[in-house]
Amino acid sequence: MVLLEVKDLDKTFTTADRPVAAIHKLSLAIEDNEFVAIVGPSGCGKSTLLHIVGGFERPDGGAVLLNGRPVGRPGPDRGMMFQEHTLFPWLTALGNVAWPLEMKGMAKAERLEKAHAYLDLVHLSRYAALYPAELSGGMRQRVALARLFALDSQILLMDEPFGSVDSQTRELLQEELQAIWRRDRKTALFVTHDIDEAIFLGTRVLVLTARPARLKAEIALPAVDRGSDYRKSAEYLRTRGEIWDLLREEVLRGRALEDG
Amino acid sequence: MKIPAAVQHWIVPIVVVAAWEGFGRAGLMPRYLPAPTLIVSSLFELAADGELGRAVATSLYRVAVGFVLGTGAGTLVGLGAGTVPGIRHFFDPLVAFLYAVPKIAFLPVFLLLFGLGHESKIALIAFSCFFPVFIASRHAVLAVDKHLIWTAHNMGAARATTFFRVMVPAAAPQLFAGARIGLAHAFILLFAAELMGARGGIGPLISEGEDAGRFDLMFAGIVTFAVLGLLGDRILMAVRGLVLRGQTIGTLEQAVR
Repeated sequence: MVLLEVKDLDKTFTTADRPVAAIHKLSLAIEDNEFVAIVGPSGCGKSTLLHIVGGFERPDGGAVLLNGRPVGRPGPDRGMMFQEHTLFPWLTALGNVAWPLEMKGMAKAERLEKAHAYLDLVHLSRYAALYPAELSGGMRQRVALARLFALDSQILLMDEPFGSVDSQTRELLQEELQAIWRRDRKTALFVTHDIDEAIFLGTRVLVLTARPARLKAEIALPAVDRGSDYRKSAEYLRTRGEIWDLLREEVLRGRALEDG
Repeated sequence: MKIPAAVQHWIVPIVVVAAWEGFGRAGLMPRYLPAPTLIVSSLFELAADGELGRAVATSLYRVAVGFVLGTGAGTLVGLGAGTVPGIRHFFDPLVAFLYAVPKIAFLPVFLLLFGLGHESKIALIAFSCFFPVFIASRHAVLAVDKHLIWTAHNMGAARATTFFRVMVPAAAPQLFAGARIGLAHAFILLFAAELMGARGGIGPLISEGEDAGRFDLMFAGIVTFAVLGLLGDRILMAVRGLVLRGQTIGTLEQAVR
């Protein structure tokens, strides 16, 4: 069943000297329990797409439907995770994870217990009492991940959530996210510029064109066990090559656009 | 070689005061700079007959009420101006026009409006606090990372919840910076208003000492002002430290502590 549908989406930004089309006639559909990774050249409008689905920005044309109904203002049905952690610096890790539960009206004892459980999921229960500034970049993103799961949305929108952490931490975070996803089967729309991340996490990869973003290709990925060996398999490398060829054309075209 | 922090803090004041005292006793200082020991003994003298206590109580009452009213109003209106463009458009030109005017110039107006009692001083102090606090609060709101606000909306927080639970705490470090400047303005205006004619308070103590050629009394009053200002600032910073626990970690402020 289709959970999220994006139809003929248009978005144009007005810069100082001229309008720039970020998205043009973009359509896509996400099924229940899919983990869809979106790759595209940098600056192609991937983040803008997520911002529109999340309700943070308004499209100039087209529609975004969740369960067949148009989405409006931001809401907990579409949980968003940004590239920077956006944890509240005045709250502890536990306080941050408990916040969405409080917004749902959960009683204090219950939400603290649940928040502990979500922190445990990302192996951070020992750090519950620390403030975000006392945590490493990777730990902050794990707290943000726990907070996102605490929101318990219908669909997860993730905008390069591991883009700002170092590569070793990123692989571990990917494995943790993968393990949680295998357990919960949350529908997710995951934007990244990292092909490896897309193949490792996604059940399907969408390749976007250079600005203005349109759908260039989609690649379904096999539902194999994604252990750390998966990254070394022949299947993985073949898919990686295929996506890179598609992406490379767009990266070059995007660069020509910037130069021209 | 590393000089201990305590030595760094105290070396200059101690050397200055000791030199002042030494030159004073040797009769090398002018009459209007009485030796520190003389100032301190005058302070004790004033304290012993209760005059200092009464003056401090009066001045503290004026400065505290004025600061709370002015800072409170400046914070509220500043937060409003940062959030609502209409409020911003109304207050911005007004504040820009009046900010640089020394507020003591309005003393006659406040005396006519509020009379010769406490009220005119309190109103003038509040009026003076308002401006720096308004400016800091207004900018504090506009400097909040929009992703924090988006995150709150994403979690289903209503507008009021987002404002009080996310906007205000995110702006809090700058709100305290504004309040600190407001406190300095409060003491400056207290001093100025009391010197320009007031009954009771530390100001008259200073001007009476000056008129009578008792420079020791004059300095006793000045020292009292300085100590009150210092204590006020320390109390405000202690409150700030408690409120902003999570927000000073990993900043330069913590690194240099």
